Amino acid sequence: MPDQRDRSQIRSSLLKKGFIEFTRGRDHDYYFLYVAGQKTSIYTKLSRGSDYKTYNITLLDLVKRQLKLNTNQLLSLIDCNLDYDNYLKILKTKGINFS
Amino acid sequence: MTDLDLNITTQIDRFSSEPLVNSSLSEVDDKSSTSQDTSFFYVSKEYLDFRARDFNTISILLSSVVIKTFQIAGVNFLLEFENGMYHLTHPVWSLSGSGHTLIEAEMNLRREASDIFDFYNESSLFSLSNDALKFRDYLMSITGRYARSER
Repeated sequence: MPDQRDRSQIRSSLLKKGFIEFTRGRDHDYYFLYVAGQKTSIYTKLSRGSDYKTYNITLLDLVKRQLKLNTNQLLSLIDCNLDYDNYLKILKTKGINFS
Repeated sequence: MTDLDLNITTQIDRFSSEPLVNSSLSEVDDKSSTSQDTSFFYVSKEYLDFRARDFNTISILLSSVVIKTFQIAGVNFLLEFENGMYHLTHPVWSLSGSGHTLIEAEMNLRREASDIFDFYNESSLFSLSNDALKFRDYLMSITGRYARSER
C-alpha cells in the first residue's frame, strides 16, 4: 500500500468521519471535527493547489499530526477502515475528550 | 569492535523492532520544561542515537519521538524531530507548526493560529465544545486579536 492518497479521497473520507468542510480559506479548505453537534479543536486542512492533488507521505504526516493519529491510523481513516466512533475512541485513549 | 560496540549492536538487534516511543514519552514528561529551552537530543531515521547510561543499560531512541516540551504563550507544545523537520504539536488541539528550525516551526504555528482564529471566533460559543472554547481563548491570546461580541 503506497503511502500516498488522492486529495479527493482524503476529503471524501473526512466528510464521512464527522468533519465539516469550510471552504472560505484562500489556499486551503478546512475540515473541523464535530462531536455532538459542536465544533472541536480537531481540524485539518487540504491545499487547493493543483500541485497537491496527491498527498505524499510528507503531506500526510502533517495531516496525521493535526488529527492525532499515527500513519497507519490515518491511512485507515482515509481508506474507510476506521470509522467515526473508533476515531473518537482513539482520541479518547490519547486523553482527548469532548464531553 | 569493542565489547561496548558489540553490546550496543546486540541491543539494537534486539530492540529495533520494538516501539520505544512510549518509554521516551514518559521520560520526557519527567523533565518537562516550562521555559523556551532549546537544548535537547534527537535522532533521525538515518542515524540511531543510543545513549549508554552504563555498559549494561542502553536506551535506543527512534525517530519521531517527543524530545521536549516547548512553551508558546503560556501553553506547552510537544517538540518532535522527524525526517529533518521540527514539529510543534499540542497534545489535544490540532494547532501545530513545522519547519527546518525550531524558530521556523514556531513561526509556522503562529501563522496557523492566525489563519484558524476566525473559524472559531465566528462560531457561537454554544456551538463550540469545551476544548474548542479553551482553544479559542488561546488563539485570541496568541494572535492578539479580540473576540467578536457574543450573539
